[in-house]
Amino acid sequence: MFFETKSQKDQLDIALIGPWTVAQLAEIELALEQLAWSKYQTITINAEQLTILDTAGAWLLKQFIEQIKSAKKTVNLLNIHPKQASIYHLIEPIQLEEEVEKPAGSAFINVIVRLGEGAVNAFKQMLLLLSFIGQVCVTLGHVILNPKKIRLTSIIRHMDETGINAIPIVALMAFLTSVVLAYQGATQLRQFGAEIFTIDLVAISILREMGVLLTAIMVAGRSGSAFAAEIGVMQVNEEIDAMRTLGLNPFEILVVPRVLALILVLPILTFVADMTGLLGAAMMSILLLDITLTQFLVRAHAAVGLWTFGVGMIKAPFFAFIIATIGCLKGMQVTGSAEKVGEMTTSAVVQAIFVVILADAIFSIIFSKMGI
Amino acid sequence: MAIITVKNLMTQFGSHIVHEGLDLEINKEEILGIVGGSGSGKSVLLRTIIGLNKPKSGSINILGEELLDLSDQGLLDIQRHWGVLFQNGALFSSLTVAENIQVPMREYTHLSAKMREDLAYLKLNLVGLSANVANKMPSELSGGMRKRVALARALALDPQILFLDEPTAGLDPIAAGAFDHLIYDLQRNLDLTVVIVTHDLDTLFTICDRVAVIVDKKVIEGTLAELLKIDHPWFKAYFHGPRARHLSRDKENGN
Repeated sequence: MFFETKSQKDQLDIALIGPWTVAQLAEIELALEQLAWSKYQTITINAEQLTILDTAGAWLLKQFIEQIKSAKKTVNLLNIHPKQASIYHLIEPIQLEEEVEKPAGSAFINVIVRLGEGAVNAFKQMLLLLSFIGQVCVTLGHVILNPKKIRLTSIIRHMDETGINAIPIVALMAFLTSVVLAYQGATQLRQFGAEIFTIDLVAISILREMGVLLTAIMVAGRSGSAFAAEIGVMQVNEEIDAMRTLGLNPFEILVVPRVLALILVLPILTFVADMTGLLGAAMMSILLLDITLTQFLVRAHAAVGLWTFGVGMIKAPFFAFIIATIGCLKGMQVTGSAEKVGEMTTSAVVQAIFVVILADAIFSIIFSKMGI
Repeated sequence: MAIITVKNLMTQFGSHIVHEGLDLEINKEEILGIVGGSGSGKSVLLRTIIGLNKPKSGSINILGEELLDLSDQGLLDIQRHWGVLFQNGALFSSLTVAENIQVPMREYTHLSAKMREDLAYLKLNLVGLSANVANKMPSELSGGMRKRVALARALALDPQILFLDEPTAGLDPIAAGAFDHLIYDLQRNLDLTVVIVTHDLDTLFTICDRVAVIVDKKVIEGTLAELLKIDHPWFKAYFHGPRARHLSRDKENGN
């Protein structure tokens, strides 16, 4: 019960009762809607028994009174406590502005617009990446010509974080991948009685492609994101602006050590992945193919040339350059607030993996043209 | 009449004691300023009173309930009776301004969507913002506007108590003055009890009814006139320092 009504002839008395606050508002609104006030000419609202009125309650009361007024009836608000009156009078003059219209277009046009925006953005991103790569190369060249500017401590720290700490996970991943490959290969090749070629399959694919590619993807997820987040947070804290005003070159201090560290470390990680991958292949061959370790080694030696190993290793520094550059670029692109850091970190990983796979495809074409 | 009574409070982080034997009384419908040096535990005290930080010992009575004895549900029920303005607004970054203000209403009431929206606009109007900021994201707002929106969200359920953590920090003097004025107006019109943690001497001298000073892990409270007379080196430095002097002179002259 939020109000009581009494009617006589064409007059309706409404006595407000108890608290009218946001907690009761939903029910009061419902009760008011069901109130048949429109057949009376004069409506009196008595607020004597109203105990609490807050802004939400006052808003509802004001709307109710305005509704009655707009129906050309007489309405009076009586006996309102001074405290409640002050809230009511605070709310009374407020007129809500019409809601701002949101721009609406047809769904079809919106799709086209988004497609266009996406394409333009992708193109801009590509240009940005190219100019950033250029900048990194220039600074890299400059640093190499002035070896005093190489920040050895920083490079070693990043090598530790991106390399040494990643060895266990990279090794485990390569091992398990080759176990899976060997298992699938053996099952399929058995149908042709060519199980022994499982060794060729696993050894070649690990050394040529899987070792380096999986390592690069793992490092992009681990370190590319870390680069973007670290530099992004520094960007939010204006640390990078501070460096510039102190005459320090953020490229020299932040980007070059990370790029150099990753270029040095990714081949090592790839080597680790290759070796544990072969270990996995050997283990599976012994278990599935019923051969000895010596037989495995003989077969593997026949299948794998020096170039099989070389093709994988050559790609590692290029992938490292891609991952580190994109990670740093995304960190540098963070502007304003901290929310951007998360967005850019995600984008760093996605773009780095995409560009790594793109580069891998290009390498495949080049190597096949060269006949290796 | 006291609406919040803190007795013999002790808070501790590891071996670092922040408050010890702290007593504080906050009266109904007053504006209380909490001041103290950096690291003296102003914000910790505020966070303890609103239940975000568990004290080591002591009692906090708020709106007649013993805060530390409340169950989780009890705490949720009582929390709707106060609104909190965090230092940087703490607006939810993924929601628009209007949605931000509606969050407490969604959680605690069964209001219709139309009514919620109306009330959100009403609160925006109360804090002096126009309706066309309603569909903006918090990141598109200036610092002063963000604080006003945060205040609107704190007022969403018409609380009895309003806790403000450094409301004027980071605002220019004009915006800070306007924000002080807004808090004062709302307090008078809505009969709010307002607790302000602040560094801003202007806020202290212009709108606070009483001031609680945290020194030596305890609170000394009183009106400004009373505190100005205290003979303690920290008080002397704080209230009679160069930044405070002209303000207190103004106050004495009745400006």
